[in-house]
Amino acid sequence: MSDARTRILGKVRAAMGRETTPTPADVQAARAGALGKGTPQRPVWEESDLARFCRCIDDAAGTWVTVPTLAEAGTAVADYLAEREAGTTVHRAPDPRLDHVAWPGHLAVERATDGRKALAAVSCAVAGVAETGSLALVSGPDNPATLAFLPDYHIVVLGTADVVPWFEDLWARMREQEGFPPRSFNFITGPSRTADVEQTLQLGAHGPRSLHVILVENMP
Amino acid sequence: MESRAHLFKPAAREALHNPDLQQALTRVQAGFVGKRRTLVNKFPDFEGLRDRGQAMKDHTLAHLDYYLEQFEAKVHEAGGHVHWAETAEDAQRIVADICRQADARMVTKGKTMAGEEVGINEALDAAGLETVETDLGEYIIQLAKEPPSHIIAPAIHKTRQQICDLFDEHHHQGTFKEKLREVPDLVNEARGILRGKFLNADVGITGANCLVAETGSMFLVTNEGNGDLTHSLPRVHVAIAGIEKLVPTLDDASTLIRLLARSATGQEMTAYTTMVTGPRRGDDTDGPEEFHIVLLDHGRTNMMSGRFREMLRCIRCGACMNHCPVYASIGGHAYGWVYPGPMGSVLTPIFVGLDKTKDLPNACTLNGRCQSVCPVRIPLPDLLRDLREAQFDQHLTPGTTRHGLAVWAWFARRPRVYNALSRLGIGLLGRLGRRRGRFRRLPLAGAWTAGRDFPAPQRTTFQAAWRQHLSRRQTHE
Amino acid sequence: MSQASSPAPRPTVALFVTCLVDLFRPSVGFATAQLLEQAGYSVDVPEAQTCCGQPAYNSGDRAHAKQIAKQVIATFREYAHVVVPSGSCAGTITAHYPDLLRDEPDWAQAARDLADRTWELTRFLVEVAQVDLPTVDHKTTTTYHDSCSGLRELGIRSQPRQLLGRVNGLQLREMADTDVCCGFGGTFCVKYPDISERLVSNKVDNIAATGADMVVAGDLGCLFNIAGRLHRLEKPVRAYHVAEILAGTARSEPAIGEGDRS
Repeated sequence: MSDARTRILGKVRAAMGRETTPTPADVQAARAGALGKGTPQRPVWEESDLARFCRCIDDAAGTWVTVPTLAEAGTAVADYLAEREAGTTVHRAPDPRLDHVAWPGHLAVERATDGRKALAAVSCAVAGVAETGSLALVSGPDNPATLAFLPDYHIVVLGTADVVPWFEDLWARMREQEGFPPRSFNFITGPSRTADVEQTLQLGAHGPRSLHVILVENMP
Repeated sequence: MESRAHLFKPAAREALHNPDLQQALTRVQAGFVGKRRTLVNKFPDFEGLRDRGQAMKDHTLAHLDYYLEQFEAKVHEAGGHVHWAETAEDAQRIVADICRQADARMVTKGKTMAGEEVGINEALDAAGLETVETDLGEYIIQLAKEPPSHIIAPAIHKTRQQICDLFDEHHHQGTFKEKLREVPDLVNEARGILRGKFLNADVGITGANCLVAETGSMFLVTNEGNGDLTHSLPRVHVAIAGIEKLVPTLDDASTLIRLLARSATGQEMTAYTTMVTGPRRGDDTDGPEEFHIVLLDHGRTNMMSGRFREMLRCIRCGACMNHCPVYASIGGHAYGWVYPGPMGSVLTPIFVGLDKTKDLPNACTLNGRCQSVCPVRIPLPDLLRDLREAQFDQHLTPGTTRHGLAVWAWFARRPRVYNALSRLGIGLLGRLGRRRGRFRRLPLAGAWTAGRDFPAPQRTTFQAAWRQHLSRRQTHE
Repeated sequence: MSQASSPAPRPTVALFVTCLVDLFRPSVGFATAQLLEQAGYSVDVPEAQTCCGQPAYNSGDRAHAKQIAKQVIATFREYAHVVVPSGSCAGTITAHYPDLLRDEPDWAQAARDLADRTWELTRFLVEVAQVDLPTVDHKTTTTYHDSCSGLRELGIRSQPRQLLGRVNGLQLREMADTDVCCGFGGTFCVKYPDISERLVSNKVDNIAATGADMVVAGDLGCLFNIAGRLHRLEKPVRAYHVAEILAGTARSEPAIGEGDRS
């Protein structure tokens, strides 16, 4: 234990007029008193969660498409790349769910362990948050984090059933999952952007210039 | 960073007459203020959200020892290292040591205001490392060798033309490349150059927008994605965060991010909001091998008791400066240290010293617009007034002001003398100015009349006129 | 001494006229008194009033600010309502006296008590008096300046606009950035004159952009600052306190900074 640690914690306690750290029970009681049990203030919407999610993606300059099954995501990927003249090579995350994708024959599909060589990449999200149109990605061998940041084109596959209304719902779900938290839990809301030059919005600052979401209605 | 806050007045004057700066500053109000307002109006109960943010931060600060210990234990569980820095020198030494042990040559940096506060770049330079800022705004001012002028838009004082010139000077020397003109070209050129730095960096340094005690995680909020490339690609990730950045749970982090994104850039969510917990896991194929978090005190514990604890709620969104008319007139550099605007005018005197920052608490009209937008309801005008009181108590207020106040108060407390004397004075001034109705110049009022006429008083004082009015009325009755 | 001998006793309000009105523009005090009388009140002007103490308070001179606050509290102790033709001075009493005197429990209580009884003029007329004032004619295009203290410490925004809406012939045109400070800020304007000048220049630009021939506000500090800048730039916009417009006295009174024969 470093001296700095002792001194900093000591000064905090002195300021609070106590000599020891409060107990978890005391802290919980104080928290309940301070914050109550009501739901936090958050956005509300009238449309379905999925519709809200898609609208927020639009607002964040992302694009999306819905496909009935994971197999059909392959055509969706090919269409997206063709539309943007983004070549025919795609680096896919090793996520086993992507094994169900029927990749069109003209696409060169490579399994990627990171994003260093990828111009276009496909990853899987664990969830979408309707509140903001954010994709939630879990880093790990299935979905390397850099795959979401180094490519110019990032395509994310998400099951429509995995769209949750608010962040609190997502946390409740994630707390149940083994291995949570991962090293990097990424919320992605539209492509990379900057407004550092004269407050002018420019997409594609350091991360992907374009973000495309493929919503799968029947995700395995 | 060394403070130049004692030069506030000349710096402000220079800023007011700098056409490039003035041109750049018009964009602050136009951009941030309008976007924030739109989203706040759209949110069902933003005032309630602010209340919750305030209550959550107050609760955390009141139990900060508990949450710091919980956070530390969770970081250890995730395989990360926790360092405690009491002073700027501690923080510099800790970061330099980590870099040395990693045998680092190049360091990439995400934007960190705590890092600016303790002068991390200077320490890394001294250790012989190449340090590259990766936030585009920070990169621009690193090229210009300037400090940030805004806590979330560090290069907001620069015009596009100035940035074109900078890039030409630093990127095109010895090449036949033409000077760039357009924003997309500037962004693209910086992207290409910085991509090479990201891929070759040994250590990545970031700040943190909040630390979560529940999981030992830190949140990092960016739009460019530079923060994620900074912490994901090098072998070692170091984050620097003030101890006040703690929040208890992930749900609390969500509350904070709802407030932060709307208050800062006027977004519902930035493009990238990332929760980082420890280093790369056993079977991960990317991510750093080491994760270090430096918990910075640097004077924060001195604010824990007493009224300035309220300032520790600050989530560094910049809304106060975006809404400050003084900031909008002079920009951030005139404030002379890391933090400008209203929050800086409170923090800088505390961190740097009241005697070296005499102007900061006073260069404010106390109009309260900052407080009305602060996501965690920090009473900034009250805190500035408290600093003025501290200045007064420590005899740092100019003698003329003290003397003037004492004389004025002597009269104000003696209504008879005050009324008699003011009637005389006003009668005289009124006769002098009645014809024209105003003065272009007036003895002892040079500061006022430099830019404004001074209205002449009407016939006599109200008190005198009212007594006359009453006696006339009584005669009539 | 001002007890009217009318059959039904009229409730009495105390007028805290403020030092700026007392010294520089008594017509605002008379307009205020007239409005209060028209609203059915009898008006008292305690002679022991001087200033609310804001200059000392905002300069960090707590000791003097406290002394003056106590004097104000004592002066107005007996009145059910204290009306102030200024958001800034009313704000000092309601939003700051209790805090200023927090270390002296008896005084703090008395300060809270006074705060509950103290009203800015337009708010008093709309929320307490709640009577229809006599109709006034004034053909003008006017823009309204919100003083920061009134707006943010007292929530005054709709009240003056509602009252001005009843003036025949008065057309209200809102300026841009109505919630931004004019740069007065009490002693700020003389401590940092060049920054203050920039702020008031912005304000004056926004006023001129509306095309209004008149700017009206509820605070004399802002009005002196704005009128002073308007005159310096020779802009043909006249400045009045809202009480003068509502009482109908503005038509016969030179505007702020205008001479008797201008």
